[in-house]
Amino acid sequence: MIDLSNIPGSRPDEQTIFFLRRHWFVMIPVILGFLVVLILPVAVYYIIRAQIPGYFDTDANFTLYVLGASMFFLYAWLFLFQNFIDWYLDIWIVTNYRIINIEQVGLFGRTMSELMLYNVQDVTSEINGFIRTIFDYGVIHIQTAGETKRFEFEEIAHPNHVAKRVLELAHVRRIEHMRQGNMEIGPAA
Amino acid sequence: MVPLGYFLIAWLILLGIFAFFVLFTLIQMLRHGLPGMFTYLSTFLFVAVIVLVVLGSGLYFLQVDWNDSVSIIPESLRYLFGGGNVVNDTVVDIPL
Repeated sequence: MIDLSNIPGSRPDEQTIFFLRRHWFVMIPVILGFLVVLILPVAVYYIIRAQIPGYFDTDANFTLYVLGASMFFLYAWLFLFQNFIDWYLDIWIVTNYRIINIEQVGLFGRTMSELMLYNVQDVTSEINGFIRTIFDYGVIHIQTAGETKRFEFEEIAHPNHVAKRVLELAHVRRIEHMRQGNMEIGPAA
Repeated sequence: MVPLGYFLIAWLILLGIFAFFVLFTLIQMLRHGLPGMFTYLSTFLFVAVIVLVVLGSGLYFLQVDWNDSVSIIPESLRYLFGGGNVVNDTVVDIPL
């Protein structure tokens, strides 16, 4: 398991500032979809009973239904849990030195990347749509020096606050880095 | 008519594939999840529901006569699949 108190390559004075996950609301459509899927075997039972009265009177037919419905439920449950894992295991950790991105891709894929805060040039938060505005969650884009690819925090809660804090941390870290004679100071946060 | 036992074999094969995916899912969760109550609780709930469904189905299957046969196509719809023009046990004369 991941131990937050022992992140690989951490410094003695490194502190976790944010531990971020996608907003819980992202899981609502998945749970609603699961509930709809759950209703299907029950609906099939009642439709068959209505269309073909007496179909379930024989034990063999009812057994056939139990075989199908139980397997259908098990795979639907597995699908729901895998979606939950996809949400639960996608994490972004912001420390006072760096940003660590740990992403679960499907069941077998897992990517881990990190970005030093002194490399951060621009942080943009984005909240689009009615639901995102109501629940205050959205995307943060982090542009780094010398890289075209942007780092993204997807569907996290309070993106404006997080973006502001990341900019502040990046500014502090950039000044520290400059003092060590490594680079020029960037724009103020 | 298809023997009911064939469906049980298919069910067991699907259960085996399901078990394989469950195993990988649990490994991913316990290896990469954060140590904490929520991780353990959600994993326990996931496993508990599976055990309940498999045990519940298994207990029901213990009473089933697997030598019995089942007709997938209902009697009333058999005429659609080349089973003759029999509807409700009555031969229907189709005028030519």
